[in-house]
This record gives sequence, C-alpha cells and structure tokens, in this order.
Amino acid sequence: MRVAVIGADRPWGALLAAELGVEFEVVAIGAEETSDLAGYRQVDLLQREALDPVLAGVEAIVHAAGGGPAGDGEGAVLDTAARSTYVALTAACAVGIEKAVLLSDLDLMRDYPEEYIVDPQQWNALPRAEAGSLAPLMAELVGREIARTGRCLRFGELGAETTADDAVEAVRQALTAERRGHDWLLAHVASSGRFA
Amino acid sequence: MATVNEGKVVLFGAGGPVGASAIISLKDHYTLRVTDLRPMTEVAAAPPQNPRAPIPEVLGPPHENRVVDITDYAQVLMACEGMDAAINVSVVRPHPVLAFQVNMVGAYNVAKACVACGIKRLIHTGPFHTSLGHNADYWNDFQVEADIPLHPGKDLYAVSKYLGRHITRVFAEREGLEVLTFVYTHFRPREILPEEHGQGVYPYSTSWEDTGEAFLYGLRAPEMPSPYEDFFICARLPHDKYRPDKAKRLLGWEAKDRFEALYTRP
Repeated sequence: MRVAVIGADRPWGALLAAELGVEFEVVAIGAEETSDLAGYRQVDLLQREALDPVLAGVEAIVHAAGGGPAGDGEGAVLDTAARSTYVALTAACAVGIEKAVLLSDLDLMRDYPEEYIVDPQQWNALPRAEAGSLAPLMAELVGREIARTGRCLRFGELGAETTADDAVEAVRQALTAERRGHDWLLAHVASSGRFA
Repeated sequence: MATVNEGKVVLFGAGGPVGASAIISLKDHYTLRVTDLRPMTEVAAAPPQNPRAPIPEVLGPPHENRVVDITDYAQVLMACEGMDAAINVSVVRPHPVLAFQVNMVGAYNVAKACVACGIKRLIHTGPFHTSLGHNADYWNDFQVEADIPLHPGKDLYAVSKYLGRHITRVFAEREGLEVLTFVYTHFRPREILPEEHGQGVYPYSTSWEDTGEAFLYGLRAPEMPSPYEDFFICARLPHDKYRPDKAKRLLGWEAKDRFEALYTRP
C-alpha cells in the first residue's frame, strides 16, 4: 500500500514516515524545506494545487500536520490545523483515496478529572479557550465531517505518554483495518498514564 | 446578568445585508460601533449584495464607524474596548483561505476579545445549510429544531463557519461569555411583489426586517439556560420543516413575516 504521511516534518510525522516504511511504500510530505527522510517532498500543505499532484497513486494518508508549528501566532495555529486538514482530506477524496488516519492530541481530554475513565468514542473533547488547545479539535471536526471513513488517533507526548512503538502499531492497524462504510473512529494511543 | 438593555454594542462585518438589518433595528436603542473591513461610506455607496437586499446606513454620532479587519486580533480587541455587547455578522463564503481566516480565526478573535474586555454577551451568526447532498444534512427530516448538531461535510463555507461556532461554544463554556448563535438559511424582503404571489417560499426563510429585530431581542433576552445557545432565526412556516420555537421561548422573538401570500394560491 502506498501511504502519504503528511506533516513528515513534524516529530510524529517524521517518526511514522520512517517506521511505516518497513511495511508500506511511504510518501513523506511536509511544509519544511528539507528532511532526513528518503524521498521527502516539500509541499505547501495549505494549498490544494500543491498537494493534489503529490497524492497521485496514493492509497491512504496519515495526516500529522494538524498542530501548528511553535512560534506561530494564534490565528496561524488555528488556520494551519483546520485548513491543512481540510486541504489534505478534500485532496484525498478528489483522487479516490478511501482511507485516512488523522493524528490528534490526548490533551483534548486532559481537563476531565483524573479519576474519570474517559473513552474516546463516548466523551466529548474538552479543549481550553486557547488557540493551541482548540487547534487539534478543529482538525478533528474537519476530519470527522469530511472523512467519516477515517481513523483519528489521539497521541500523548512522543516517547513519554505514547511510545514510538505503540504509535506506529496503532497507525499500522488503522491503515490495514477493514473499511466498514461510514466509519469515523476515535482512539486514544497511550502507552502509560490515565489514557492507557 | 448578560442582558444588555442599553449601552454600547460593537458590530463586526456590518457591511453586509445582515449587518444593515441589525443597524436599522439597534440604532435607536444602543450606541453602535459599526465595523467592517471596508469603510462604511464605501460599503453604503456600493451596489447591494442582491437587488432587494438592504444596504447599511452610515450612522453619525453618537454612533461610530470603524474599519476593522476581523482576522487581526489587535484591531478586534480595540473595537471591543468599552462595549457592553458584541455582534459578529462577518462572513466569507467561497475563498479557500479567507473562509477559514474570517469564519474561524475571526470568531476566535471576537470571542477572545469579548472575554478580555469583560463583554458578557456575544451574538454570533452562521448558516444552516439545509441541503448539502449527504445523508446527514437533515434535508429529509421535518420538525427540525435549533439544537441539532450540524454536519457541514466538506462544504468550505459550512465547515469553516461550523468551526467558528465550536470555538465560540468553547469560550462560552470555559470563560463565562454568553454566546447566542443566530442561524440563517434564506433571506428575503418583507414586501411581496405582485408577481411573487403563489410562487412558494423556502421552508427556512427570514425577512431582512425580522432578521434585524432578532438582534434587539437577543441583546435584551434574560440569562440563557446554558452559556452557549443556538437559535433558528426564521419564520414559523406551515411546512413544519424547521422550527424556530426556541427563539420565541428564550428570546421572546418570533418572525412577523410569515409569507402567506407566497405559499397560498393567488
């Protein structure tokens, strides 16, 4: 399966692009100019015209660009999260890609009391009224509305709450899961801590 | 208490016909700070959005007209300073970049500035897309009420406005800001022309005049049951497809224009 990892210039995207290459033919895409990844391609992730041609022949996408890069203003953080997801998923639909995995953030659930058993399918996201907290929710809402046959995986901090091995395995399973029609699935990928 | 019976109200995106309707209804009751990306004199001199849509009146003192780019937080914050309430009727529909900037980031900027300035009530606005071509748009349903979760699908305008609504909801639930979201689909003039008799009316329709008056009720309504509330702002029509009953119940507002002449055989 040919899989595009969008946001391969971000920590989770870079990890997944490298590790998924063992099983899949990975197309690593990011907004930054350079990357150590083989075959990495720089693309403006906010423009359909730039992304569409890169997705030719791709069968699934992993969207890891939902969070804004550090240092951006609040508007840019929100815009990057929402619009990059919108661009990625509409582009995927346009070329007939039927499977998408969207990476999100366990921080959306962090403000529930520690003693609650928080299930991703049954508990609403609880972001704060701050752009950085709202950004992953914007990406999730766009993803849910457009994909509805995709997977959304909420990760914790790389290497701490969510280990690299567990993250790669979760994405691998999401990419190979059987499609079941309208099928938006939220999952928490935590190796330790309250969401494990 | 978030009720605003008098005082100062800032309008964002007031250069469109919804803003024009709001200005007409509010100008004699509040001191308005009317803002838009373009100078209001320029807006008023331009052709209307469609031939029968209202054009904003350029108000003189004690009201104020100000150019504000809603995507610029500093400008939005300055516009909110000293205000008692805010109304956001800004919108960009087809542009792939500006739709997110105005409909989502703009909503964020307004909500954040309201909190920063101690404004207690924000009236936010947005569309209800009745027919998006997918199976979750409620098009085949009847007796649809305002509290349903929307499903904008991939429609750029619908989804970017949908994100803005969620942002204002989070500010309402987290920051003590009371947000009333007024939802619209189809506007038309109050006046029914002779040639329109018996031509039918869209099941979710609102006259421009009723549209403006709803803002007055929104500002003056008592405290809401929840910090965030959605309202269908439309006429109660015999189609019974969309029900604006919540607006009557919580705001005391109901449309005066029922458009009987449009759906009755001449």
